[in-house]
Amino acid sequence: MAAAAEFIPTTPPPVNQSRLLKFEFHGRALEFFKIWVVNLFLSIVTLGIFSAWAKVRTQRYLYGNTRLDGHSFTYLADPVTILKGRFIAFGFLIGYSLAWNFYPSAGMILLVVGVLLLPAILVAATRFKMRNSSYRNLRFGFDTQFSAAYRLFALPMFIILLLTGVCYGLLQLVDLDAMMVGFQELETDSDAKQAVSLTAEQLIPTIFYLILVPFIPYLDYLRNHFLIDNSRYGHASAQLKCSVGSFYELYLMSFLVMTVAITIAITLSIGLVALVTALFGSVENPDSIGMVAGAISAFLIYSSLFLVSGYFRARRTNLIYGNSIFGDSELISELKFTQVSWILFSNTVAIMLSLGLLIPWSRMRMARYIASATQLKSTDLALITAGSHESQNALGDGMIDAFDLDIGL
Amino acid sequence: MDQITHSNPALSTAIGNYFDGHSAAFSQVTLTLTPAGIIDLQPPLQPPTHLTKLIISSRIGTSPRSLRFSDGAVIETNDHAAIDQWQKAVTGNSRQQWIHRLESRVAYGAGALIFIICLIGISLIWGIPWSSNLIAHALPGDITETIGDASVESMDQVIFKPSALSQVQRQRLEQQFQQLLFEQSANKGYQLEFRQGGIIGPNAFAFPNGVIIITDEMVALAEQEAELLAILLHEIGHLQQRHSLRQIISHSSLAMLTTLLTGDITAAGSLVVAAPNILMKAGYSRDMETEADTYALHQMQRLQLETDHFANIMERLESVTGVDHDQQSGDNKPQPEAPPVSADPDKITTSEAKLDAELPTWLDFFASHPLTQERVARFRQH
Repeated sequence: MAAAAEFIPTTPPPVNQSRLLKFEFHGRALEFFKIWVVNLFLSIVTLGIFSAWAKVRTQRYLYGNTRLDGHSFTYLADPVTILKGRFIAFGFLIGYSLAWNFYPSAGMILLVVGVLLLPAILVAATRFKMRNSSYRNLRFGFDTQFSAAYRLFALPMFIILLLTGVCYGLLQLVDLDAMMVGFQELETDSDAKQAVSLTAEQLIPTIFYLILVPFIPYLDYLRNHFLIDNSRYGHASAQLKCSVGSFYELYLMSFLVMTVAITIAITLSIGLVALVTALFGSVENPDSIGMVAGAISAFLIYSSLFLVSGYFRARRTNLIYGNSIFGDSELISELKFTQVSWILFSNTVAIMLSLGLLIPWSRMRMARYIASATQLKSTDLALITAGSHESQNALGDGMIDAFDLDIGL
Repeated sequence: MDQITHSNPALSTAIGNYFDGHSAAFSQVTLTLTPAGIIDLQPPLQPPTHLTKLIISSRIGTSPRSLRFSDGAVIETNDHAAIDQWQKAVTGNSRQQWIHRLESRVAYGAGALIFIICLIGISLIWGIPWSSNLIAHALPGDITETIGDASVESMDQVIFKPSALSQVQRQRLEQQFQQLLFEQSANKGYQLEFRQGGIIGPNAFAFPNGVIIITDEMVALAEQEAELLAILLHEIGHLQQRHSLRQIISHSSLAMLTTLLTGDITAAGSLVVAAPNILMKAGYSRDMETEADTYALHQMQRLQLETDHFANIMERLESVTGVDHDQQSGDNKPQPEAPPVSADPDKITTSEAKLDAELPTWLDFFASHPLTQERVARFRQH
């Protein structure tokens, strides 16, 4: 090696040599706390109007403090656009809840309309988010038509709506049946029939969900492929390189972890109850001891769920982002599920004990960890140029017609 | 333009990264502000530009800010002190900086925090009950009709069965009920109806359309008619004070307040948001039960009924079922945010009602009804 090095200095470094670029997060809890609390105050005082500006300021803080290779990200969204979107969403929600209270059938129609709009909302929201994100003054983009989303999601949506309709219809039939049984009061086995109708009521939605469950990993796969394959940074288009099988593996493993974690938690709590009974069995008030043991069991089981949720989130993020490429740059995501679980758990405890005051701190903490576990393997980012149909005048881009909605990406 | 004098000569230059917007390449630049308010770049990647021709992003904490040229090129810099001073010197004011000033002082943060805490406290303790009361009484009759009809219908579908009481029994109670209404000049639109409670067992409900439903099991539980009258007075109390409507409105206001407070926070776990919500809903519900009890108590005294009757049937109810006696229809309405499939009214009622009887005192905060002993004690004292 040393011998070779003597010859190399005169020649430029190989073009294809790739470097590992680090993500870093520099947000600070106290600084973010002040921003958060002042923006919350202004949002409340303006009855929510300022919340659009608050969102932009918060996002700008988070983006600005996320650095890749020493350069920060920029959030460019216009608060007025966000405000318009929020008005529309708020109006829809009000109408929806009024409809459920006053005319349940209209509520049902609105629900179906909402489901039918989901692909369009997904495209619009993702496009808005990507186009308003930039790094080194090049914007991200999401280039696809609404129709593509509908083509992709038409069949799954149709199946879900059909199943919902069948389920709803079956429930109506069962209710009618129960009523009819009720009116024939002389029938001796009416209690038995009522029991049947009640189980049917619980059974039908259960079966409905059970039919859907095998499709969830596939839907997740479709959705992420759609979102990432249509994204780009400058002219470098993104691609998700993983198979549907890996999504099934993720969900199966998560289910396994859940089973194991809950079994352990239940075993531990049974052991605990037995221990407590053995130690304090003679105390006059067994009820309160039972309550305490029950509370501890609930705590154990609830805590084990953090482990499961941490496992799922870490593995899913690693799967999706770790297999994404932008042009010839590869993302590397190495979240450890033990870390994610611990942060989720301790953040929740901290937020509860501080009555919400530690929310900003908990966000900084999670962002810092995620950034520290993420890297980009890249040859030369400087070679990436702006997208071909990207408007150079970043502001006043009339194409950004979409509104902002927060749906988890 | 005015001549600019630099109070601090160190601030006459700033460094940043220049991005032309055509590629991700960057170059480090030094910015210099001339006395005429012109920005010079070194190396000269842009012609000298007046500061007011640049779009400068507002300052948020220590996150970098950008100076955008009209051709889309951007300079990112962390030299906040220099940029702030330049803006102030050239434009005379510092637009948009007021938010940053609020955000950067601990004192303002603390002030905002205290304000928020007070506001949340005031709206939870007084604001929401007061305004839901106001709205409930202002809502036109046909809306309350519609809500009530829908609730009765859904309860009929899911839980109730037609009453098995004899015609004579029903008529007697019906008469007593009308007499009660007449004696206290309550709204004549109220109706008494009978159903078999099924899994709910002995119970009574008041719906916003003025319908009171009493279950056969409740009628059977009563040893004297006066006990049923006491229950009916409690339900009339719910109707007179429009409790089920107030409950719907206060739950919606609570949801809106929660959204406003946690709108941008997805990191907070659902339990963190759900637990205080359940607490508040249970608290409002307890207050309304106490109000209805107060109404029943006063009316019984006025009509010279033995207030012990209420206490008696409450105690018997608890010994028989371990479940509290009455629910407002509001408990049984599918909440707007809940999907229709999961709206399972009987579960909600029984689970909420059971809390009262079985849990130790530290869980009182979660109970939707006041403790039976406390309620009974009020009626025993008179």
